Amino acid sequence: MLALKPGETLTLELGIVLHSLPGQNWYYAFSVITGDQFRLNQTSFWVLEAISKGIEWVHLKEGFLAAFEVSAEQGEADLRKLLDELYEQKIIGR
Amino acid sequence: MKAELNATDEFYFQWHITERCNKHCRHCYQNGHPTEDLPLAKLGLVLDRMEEALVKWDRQGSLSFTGGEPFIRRTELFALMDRVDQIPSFTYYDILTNGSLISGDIAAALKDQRKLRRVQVSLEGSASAINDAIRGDGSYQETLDAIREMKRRGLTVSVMTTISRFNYQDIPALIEVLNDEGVDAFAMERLIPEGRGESFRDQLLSPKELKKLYESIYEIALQKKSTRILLYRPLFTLVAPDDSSVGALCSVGNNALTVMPDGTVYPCRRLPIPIGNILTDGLFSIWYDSEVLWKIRNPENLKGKCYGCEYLASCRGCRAMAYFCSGDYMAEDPQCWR
Repeated sequence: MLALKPGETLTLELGIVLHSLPGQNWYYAFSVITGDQFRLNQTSFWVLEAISKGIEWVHLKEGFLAAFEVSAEQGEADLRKLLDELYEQKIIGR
Repeated sequence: MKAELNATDEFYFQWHITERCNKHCRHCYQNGHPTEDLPLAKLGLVLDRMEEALVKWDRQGSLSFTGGEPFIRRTELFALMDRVDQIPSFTYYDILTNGSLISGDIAAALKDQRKLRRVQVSLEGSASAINDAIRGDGSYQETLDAIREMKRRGLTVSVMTTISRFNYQDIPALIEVLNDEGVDAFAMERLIPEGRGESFRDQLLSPKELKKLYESIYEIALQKKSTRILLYRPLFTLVAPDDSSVGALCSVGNNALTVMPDGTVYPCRRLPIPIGNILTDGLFSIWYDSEVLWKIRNPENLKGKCYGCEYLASCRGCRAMAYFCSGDYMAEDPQCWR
């Protein structure tokens, strides 16, 4: 599991771009280097968009809890699990 | 007979290996200032990029070699076809040509190309008077000669016509000629007022004229004569909404790209907005991150009568026609009769 400090920021891996067509329920991350494409759900896309803006971990967590109206404990656990998956798939780095 | 591909499994490249041409057609989308050709080694790199993308996307590739006039680069063309014949990711390729350089020897050599599906030549009318007024004196006979040379050797041949006020009333007669000549398929494209065709703008069909033509062509297609009439073009769906063989969503942004002689990539040859270069940018960057492609992919961006149209699933109009008639490629298709 990623150990994250409050002021730490994650980044999109080099070459990752995000695109969505909300009306079509399309949320994607693409690597323009490897050609890999990742179909996302709306939550994952929200998180990646926030990361692409250079948000600090503490603010990412706060924003996530507010946006998806989940309890602090459950929300942080869900977010950490999601970040681990995105990290494993080389969509995000640090 | 080469396999036809399901659109969802297919990715199509239209590859202009040269813009040089031995004709000077009045309606051509070229502007008469050809870009420099790439040498064969660089053309090979273009093919590498295409193959890399097809493998990554797990798509079956199809390819049209065209120009300009592709047989002006006959040596390179045959070398490229030989290579594509060996690439598993490509199912087939076509050649789009004016036909004037296809001799008996060339037709015989084409017959040996393993993945060549068909050769498309262009004719603008059922007789030389109409055709040659657009394509130049002697063109009609040259094209008929090419068709006959190719049919004699068992090649699959199609004819493409650019429709305008100049020739639209002659299309049924042209189809009769094609049936008589044993041509396998017939397709039409609408005149786009771009390149040299800009000076032909007054020949654009009105929506009413286009409707009348498409309805008459559909009636002919239903007779199922020997020449198959290809009806998968935007707006055709309005003629017979319940017939799945009619009309098609434009492939721009969905499953096709056009590559120009210097590697510049366009969404479509008729929509010549550069979105990158296949050699310097690669296809992944272009396909995944082109602002133009993403704008076109989103039907919410359509304007006018195209926005919210009940036929969005099978027709979003021609973006090139919108672009060259209004300056906005998301504008409504000006020839739609709805």
